[in-house]
Amino acid sequence: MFYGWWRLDNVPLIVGSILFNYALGGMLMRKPHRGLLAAGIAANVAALAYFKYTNFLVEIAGEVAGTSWAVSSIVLPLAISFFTFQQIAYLIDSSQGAATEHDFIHYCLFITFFPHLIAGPITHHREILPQFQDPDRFHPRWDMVATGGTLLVIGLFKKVIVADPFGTYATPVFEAARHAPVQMVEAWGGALAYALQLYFDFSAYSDMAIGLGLLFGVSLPLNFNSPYKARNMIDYWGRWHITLTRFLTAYIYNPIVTALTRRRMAQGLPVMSRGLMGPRAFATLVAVPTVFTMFVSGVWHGAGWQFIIFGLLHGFFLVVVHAWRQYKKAHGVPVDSSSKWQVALSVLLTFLCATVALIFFRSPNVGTALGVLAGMSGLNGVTLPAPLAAVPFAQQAGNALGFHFGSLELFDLNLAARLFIFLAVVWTLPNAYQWLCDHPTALTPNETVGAPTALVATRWRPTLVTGLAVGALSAVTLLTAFSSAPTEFLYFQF
Amino acid sequence: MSKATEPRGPDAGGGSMRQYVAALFGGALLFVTLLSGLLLLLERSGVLPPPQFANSLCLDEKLSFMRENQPRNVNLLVIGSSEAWRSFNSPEAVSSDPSLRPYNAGLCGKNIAQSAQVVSWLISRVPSVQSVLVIIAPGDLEGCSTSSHSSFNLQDVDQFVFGKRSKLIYYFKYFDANTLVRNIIGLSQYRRVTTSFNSLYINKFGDGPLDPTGSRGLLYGDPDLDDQCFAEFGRVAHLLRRRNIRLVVAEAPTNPAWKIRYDPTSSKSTMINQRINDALRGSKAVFIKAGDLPEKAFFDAYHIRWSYTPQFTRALLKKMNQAS
Repeated sequence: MFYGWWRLDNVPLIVGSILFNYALGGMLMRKPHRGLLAAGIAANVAALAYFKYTNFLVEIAGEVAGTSWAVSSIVLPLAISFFTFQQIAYLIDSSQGAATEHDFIHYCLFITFFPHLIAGPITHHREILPQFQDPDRFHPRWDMVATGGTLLVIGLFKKVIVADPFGTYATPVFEAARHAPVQMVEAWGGALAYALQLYFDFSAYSDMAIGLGLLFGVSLPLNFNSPYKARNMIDYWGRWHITLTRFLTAYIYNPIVTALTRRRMAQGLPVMSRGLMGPRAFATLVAVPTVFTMFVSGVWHGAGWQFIIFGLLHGFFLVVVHAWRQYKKAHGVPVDSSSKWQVALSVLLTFLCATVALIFFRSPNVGTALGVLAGMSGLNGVTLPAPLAAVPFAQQAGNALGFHFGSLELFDLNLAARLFIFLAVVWTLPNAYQWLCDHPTALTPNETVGAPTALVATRWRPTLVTGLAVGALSAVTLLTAFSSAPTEFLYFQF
Repeated sequence: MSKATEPRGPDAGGGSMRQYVAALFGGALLFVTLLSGLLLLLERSGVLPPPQFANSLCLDEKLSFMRENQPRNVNLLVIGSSEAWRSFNSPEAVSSDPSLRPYNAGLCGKNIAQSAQVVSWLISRVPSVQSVLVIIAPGDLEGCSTSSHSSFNLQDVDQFVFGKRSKLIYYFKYFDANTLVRNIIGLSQYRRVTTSFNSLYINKFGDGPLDPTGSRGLLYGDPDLDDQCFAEFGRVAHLLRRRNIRLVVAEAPTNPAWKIRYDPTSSKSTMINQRINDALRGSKAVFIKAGDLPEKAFFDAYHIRWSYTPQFTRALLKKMNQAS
């Protein structure tokens, strides 16, 4: 019912996909067969490719052929990227004997369990199916209701009160960059606003999914763990869309590395030794699999050159981090510094790299992304917000550097304040799972996120005051979410 | 599986968890109660902003005025954007012609298509209307085909203005905490003064007198005229003719500085006149121009200082009488 709410005509697709993969999974459990497995994976990928990439591929073919071919628009079925990956994992594990549970109703519930269906986490059968066999899970538990409800409210608050308003600042900048150059301050404002919009949006969906799951007695895996606190890109991908990283690592990266390692060993070529490897081994065993895996990640996120560049950029960043760590190991330097300044610098650098990649992710095409980047680089001139001119010596400093002071259509002090406040929130406060660390939330959160270590190291307690405060927060959020008020119209006052 | 996620039976967490869940609902109810109390307190203090139907303070404030001062027994309905709201001087009109019972329903930010919607709404509610005066500026002739026909939900606004439901309902339905808080700031003063650009003072006829000392320095720019806007005049004329209501479309004067910059040869003005006359042809509606005013009469491209509105209003009424 949840799946059909948006488009009823997509229901046969998910039903067909479930029936096909359940049947194939059963066959592979009974008798593993490489050809059958490959055919199953190919069928899943083909369905995903048809719905997600046909328009893009036809466009490319048209460009190559010098024509403007077009196909009637294909509407992307809800959640196809998520349930396709889940079922590919199930097929592979069935073939390898890692999947044993094969109850049809449980399988259907595993795929269609609505809290995680549209935005993840990408669940793994090993962590979900056993929960369905546990009758204890289907009795209401006050602790799960309490923490699930709290997470749901936190997620809704992040989405409605924090993420969406950032979108009203980011969208005009990216829209403007499609057609005209944008100023440096405006471009930075738009890029940072989007970085925070997506952060809080995805964090919100992950919280809501896990919270809703708990209300139904099901624990979902952690999917988002303060990624902007990451010290490098490897750390970042261990915190951002954790279940996607887990899938890509287990089913794409690791098999490639294993195959390439075996081939090099068979050829008598050196592989990794004591965590170190030579440049050629590094290129073959680290750089190639990493870049390819992130290329797949980019393609999975969307159809378009900008998504491919997004993936390749992340591949490049990851290779640089791996190479840097190899260099440090080879020279006997500790891989992770304990200096607070170096940690802060590495967190900032990682955040900036992620923001640059997100510009491609947000842009409707590569040209727009390059336009925003050109603006951020100052290539379109530097106009600083007029109120800054009132700051002592600002005018002189601006003049010396060739900057101007003037009004900026796409940047205002409200945005500056919001960016400052929420970057401070992101970097200094514990996340929801750290706050709730003494109680049931996501699967294995304690090992992953630990107790609060941020500046404000509070822990959630089920007290009356906390309940009233979270309840009041839920009222503000729901009133805002269901409000009919249009976006504020800052028309001249007459 | 961590300790935290181990299933432990229905009473896991015991009474404290049950109490917490109850507090969640209690907190939500408490907030709604406190917000209602705060709104009532603000109303008593005279600083309650209007419900955010359009989330534009000057427009929402006018709707709130209309609720408190419903148009009854009026025979002249003045319609348009802020141009109509700020420029028509109803007291002057009444002193010139005591038979007039005007009501200024100009709503800021409205293009002519949206104003047409307001005409349709109000004449259905106010049967005493005999004449509709639509005052336009060039900027009102933009964006009719791209913008929504109404910047607010007409059904809700109709119930708000003419219905008897508590207005608290609309604060919850149109809840926007940020704007609500921001609108409170300075509201008391803006409702009293006529010299601030943010003035929200409205006289008993619905006019919005504004006479600031300086100029806003805003010339707005060259309007991108929309064909759909001109078509709207024909639609309104047809609607009013069926109801036997007289329609007068008046082009308000523009700041000479605007004319020099954007219409030096008057070709745009001539074209606007021609197209409006074409749209009204075949109806009994008339199109008039109220004459020019000096630059000092304006505080931006279109809006006339209140001290010059008697002159404008008298000229307008004279042309209306001549045309009848």
